Amino acid sequence: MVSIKSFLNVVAIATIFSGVNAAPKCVKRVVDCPRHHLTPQEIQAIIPAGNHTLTEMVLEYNKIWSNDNLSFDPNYFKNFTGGQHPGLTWIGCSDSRVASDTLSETLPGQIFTHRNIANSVSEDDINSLAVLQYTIEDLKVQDIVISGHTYCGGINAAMDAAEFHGPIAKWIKPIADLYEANRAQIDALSPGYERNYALGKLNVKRVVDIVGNLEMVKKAREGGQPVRIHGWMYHMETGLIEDLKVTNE
Amino acid sequence: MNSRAFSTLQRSSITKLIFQAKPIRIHRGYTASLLNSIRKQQFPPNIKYVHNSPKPVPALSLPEQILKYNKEWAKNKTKADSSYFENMTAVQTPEILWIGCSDSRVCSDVLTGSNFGRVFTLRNVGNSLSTTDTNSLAVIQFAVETLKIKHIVIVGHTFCGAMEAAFKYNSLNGPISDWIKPIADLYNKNKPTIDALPTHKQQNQALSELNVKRNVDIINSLDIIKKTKKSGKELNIHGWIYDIENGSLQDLKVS
Repeated sequence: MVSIKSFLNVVAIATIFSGVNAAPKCVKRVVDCPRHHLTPQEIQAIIPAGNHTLTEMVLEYNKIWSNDNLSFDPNYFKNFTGGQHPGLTWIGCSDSRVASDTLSETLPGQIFTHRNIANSVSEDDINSLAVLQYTIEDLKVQDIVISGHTYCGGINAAMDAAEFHGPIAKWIKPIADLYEANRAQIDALSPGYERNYALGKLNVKRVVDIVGNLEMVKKAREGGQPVRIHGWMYHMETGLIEDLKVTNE
Repeated sequence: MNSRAFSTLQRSSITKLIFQAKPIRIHRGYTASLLNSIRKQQFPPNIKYVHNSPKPVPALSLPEQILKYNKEWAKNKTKADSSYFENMTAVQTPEILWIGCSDSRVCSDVLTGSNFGRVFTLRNVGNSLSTTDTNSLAVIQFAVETLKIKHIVIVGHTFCGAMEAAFKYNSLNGPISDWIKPIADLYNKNKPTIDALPTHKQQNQALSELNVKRNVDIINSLDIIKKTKKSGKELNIHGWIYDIENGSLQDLKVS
């Protein structure tokens, strides 16, 4: 009687010689790919022990990550050298917990990203305006997402604006003004999460309106290029994105 | 009727249709002809129900796709660790400030495995800084003063669109022209060296590396950085380049 062990040996040898090992091209989401991609935790575990500084560990992580992708498809990264064609522009918060590329489960090349304190845009800020101009004129992206989030430090700072000086105070002034304009309504809510969430939503709506009224957006729309501006809130406590349904199109 | 006129598949799909069809309420006053016309609407004669093909689903737009995938991602994360997201709501304690490019191919979170709240991120066109830009200065101030970040990494990359824009600066106008100007000036200052390089990829990469060095110098010259270093707090500035062709980060050693 053939033992299971010898049967499995035969299967293993047959697999090796039949070329079933050939790696499939990985163009799907990591969760959809039939081969196992190393998770961040697994990569962390592989990083060789030693007296690394934090940035050295990040470089080690990246080396293992890129080798993992190349092991599936040697041309995985070469596919990106032809230029970028993202489907969406994300204007979100710099907060380390709002990892936009991870929580949206997108592949590299799908989202053009601008991240700053409290996902703000103003008409005299050439930084964010340059991002939007490149998005609309060069990349011809049709969807722009303004994404706020709960537990936002920038929103908390805006509710306490007197404590801040320097560039931060100047940057959050529009949000502080928004807070003043809606103070009665926001202060009626319980302090902490509720007030942060309410002001965060108002801020997203404010930015959606600003972006919708920009000259470059109006010009693109008049020229027949659709530009849809969505307002979302990322709920850190559940990991879910809420569509605030304030889309400007 | 010959039962073999329909294949098993056809029979099963017809059965499915019959049982899935909306029930017709029989009220008084329904004539046979009315019932027939209702039946025709349920089973329009011009559609061939010959195989079990699913109704075509319209492709999702990217925002709709993201909302859908995000729900699955959140569910999977919670299944693996039920308190994963609750733990995130505590105050953030990242140790690295990443100043990188908005380029969709340079996903800072994925490259660094930073979905643990490790990397505070500033991403803009051409990973550029200037001493007059409130946007990036606010991020740096928040990172250094409030979050007490220990490492600032400025990451340029190959095949950068901002470098291409700097090469053709004279054809730009609007906010992007003002934004790219420092990089265009850097290009003009180093034009002979850059233009002498054999391939366009190398010219783009050379300007990108010079731009990273320029930004490292700008950061080192900021008052807030000088103050922090003088007070003895640990603060390291690094310049890196991400090679899109092989997915690897390299330290340019320009600290």
